[in-house]
Amino acid sequence: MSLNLMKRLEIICAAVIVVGLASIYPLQAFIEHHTGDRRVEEALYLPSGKAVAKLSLGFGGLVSDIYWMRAIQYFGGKSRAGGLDQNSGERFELLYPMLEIATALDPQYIVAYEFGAMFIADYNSPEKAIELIKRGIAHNPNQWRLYQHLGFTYWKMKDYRAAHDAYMAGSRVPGAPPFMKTVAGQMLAEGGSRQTARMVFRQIYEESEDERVREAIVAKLKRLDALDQMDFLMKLTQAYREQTGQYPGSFRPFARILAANKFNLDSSGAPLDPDGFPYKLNSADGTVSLADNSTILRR
Amino acid sequence: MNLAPIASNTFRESVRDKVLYNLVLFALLLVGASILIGQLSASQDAKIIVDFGLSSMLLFGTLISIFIGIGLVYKELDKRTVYSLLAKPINRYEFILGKYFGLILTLLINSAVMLAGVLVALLYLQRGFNQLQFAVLPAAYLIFLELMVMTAIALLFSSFSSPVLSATMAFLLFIIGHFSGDLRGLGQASESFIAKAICYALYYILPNFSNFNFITTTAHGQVVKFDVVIGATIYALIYCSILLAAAIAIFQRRDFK
Repeated sequence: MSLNLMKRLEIICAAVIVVGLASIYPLQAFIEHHTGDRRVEEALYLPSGKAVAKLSLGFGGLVSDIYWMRAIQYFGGKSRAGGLDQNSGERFELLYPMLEIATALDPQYIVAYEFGAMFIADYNSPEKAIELIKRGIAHNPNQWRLYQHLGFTYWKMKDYRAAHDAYMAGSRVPGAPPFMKTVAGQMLAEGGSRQTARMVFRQIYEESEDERVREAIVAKLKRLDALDQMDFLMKLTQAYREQTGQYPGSFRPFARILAANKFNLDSSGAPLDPDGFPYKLNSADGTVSLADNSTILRR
Repeated sequence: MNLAPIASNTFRESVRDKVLYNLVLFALLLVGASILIGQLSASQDAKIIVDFGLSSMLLFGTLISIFIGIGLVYKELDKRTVYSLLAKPINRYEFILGKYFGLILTLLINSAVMLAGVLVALLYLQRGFNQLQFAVLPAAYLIFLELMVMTAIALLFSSFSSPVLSATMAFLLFIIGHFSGDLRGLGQASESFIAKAICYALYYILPNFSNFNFITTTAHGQVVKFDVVIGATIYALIYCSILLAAAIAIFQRRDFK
C-alpha cells in the first residue's frame, strides 16, 4: 500500500471515530426519549449473606463495602424521594438484606449494625433490627455500643425490661461508659418518660460516628421538644378557657408568656416548632398540633 | 549458579510485555476511589481504601502470576529457545528457579508500588499517620506470599501442560484454595470414614489461601499477629518448595524431541 493511501486511510479512520463519538450523545438521547425511563428498581441479586461470602473468594471485605455503599445509596435515594414522610408507606425492604450481607462478609462492620439498628427498627421491622444487632454482638462481644443500640431498640418497642437487660449487659463490657448503668436503671424506673427518651437519644448522638444516625437522633430530639412545647401551649389554652369561658382564637393573648419562655414567634404571634413551622391552634377544643407541612417527625 | 541472569531476563521480559502497565490502571482507580468513596460510604472511606487497595493487589497480582506464570516455560518450549538455553552450561533446575524468581521480582515491584499507593491514599484521607497504615504492611506481605504460591502453581503447570489447561487448573486451585474451610467442614460433617479421610487429605494437601488473607480485619485497623505472619511465611516457603521441586522433577525428565 502506498504512503499516500495509508495516510488517507488513517484520516478516514480518525474521521469515523470522531463523527461516531459525536453522534452517540444525540442518538442515546433519541433512544431514551422513545423508550422512556426504564431504570430498574434496586434489586438484590443474591439474597443470602452466606452465598455471597462463598462467591467472594477472599475479597469479602471489598464486597461487604460494596453492599454497605449500596445500602447507604438505597436508603438515601428512597429518603430523598419522600420515603421518610409519614404517609409514604415506604418500608425500605432491601435495607435489612443488604446490611445482613455486608455484615455476613465482614462481621466487624460495626457502623453497619448501628445503621441497621436505627433505621430498620424505625421504618421496617424492629424484630429484624434486633436480629441484626444480636448477630453483631455475637461476633463483637466487646463492643458496648451494640448493646446500647439493642437496648435502644427494645426501648422503642416499649419492652423496658429487655432494654434494661441489654444496657446492663453492655455496662459490663470493659471500657463501657458509666451512663450505661444509669440508663439501665432509668429503663425500669421511667422507661416511658420523655426525660428517659432525651437521655437515651443524647447518649446515642454523642457516641455515634455515623452522620446519618446523628441526624436521625437530632430529628427525634426535636420531636420531643415539639411535644413538650405543645403540652405547654395546651396548658395555656386550658388556663385561658378557665378564665374566659372559651378557647382562644389565636396565640396573641400569650405573646408575652411565650417570649418569656423563649418561644420563637412568627409575624402573627404564632409560636414556631423546632423546625420553624407555626403551631396550629384548634379554637374549638384548644388543642395544639404541628402544622400540616411541618418537617417534625410524627413517629 | 546461573539463577541471576535467567531471573533478570525473565523480569525484563515481563516489563517488555507491559505487565507493569496495570499499575497505571490501579493508580487511576485508587485516585478516583479516594475522591468518590468519601461521598458514597458514610465516613468509611479509610476502611474502603484499604479493602480496595489490598484486594486490587491480590487480584492484579493473581492475574499476573497466572497469565505470565503459565507461559514461563511453555513459551521457551514453543519458540524452541529452550534448546539454545540448555545447550549453555545451565542446569534445568536453574532454568526453572530462575524463571520463578524473575516473575517473583516482577510481582514484588508490582506489589510494592501498589502498597505505596494505598499508603499515600490513606495519608491523604486521614491527614497523617495512624495505626491503619501500620496494619496494612503485614497484610500486604501476606498477599505477596500468596502470590508466590500462585506463581509456583502456575510454573508447575507450565512445565508440562499447555497454557489453556495451565490457566484453567491454576484458577481452579485459586478458587479451591479459598474454599478449603468448606472441605474441612465437609469432612467434619461426613459420617463415612473414607469421605472424611478424602476431605481431610484434600484440605491439607491443597493450598489454603485463607492463611494469607487478612484484608478484612486489617481494614478495621487490626494488625496481623506476629506468630500468624511467621506461620504463614513458613507455610508459603514449604508449599513453594514442594511445587518447585515437582516442577523441577517434571522438567528434568522432559524429553524435548
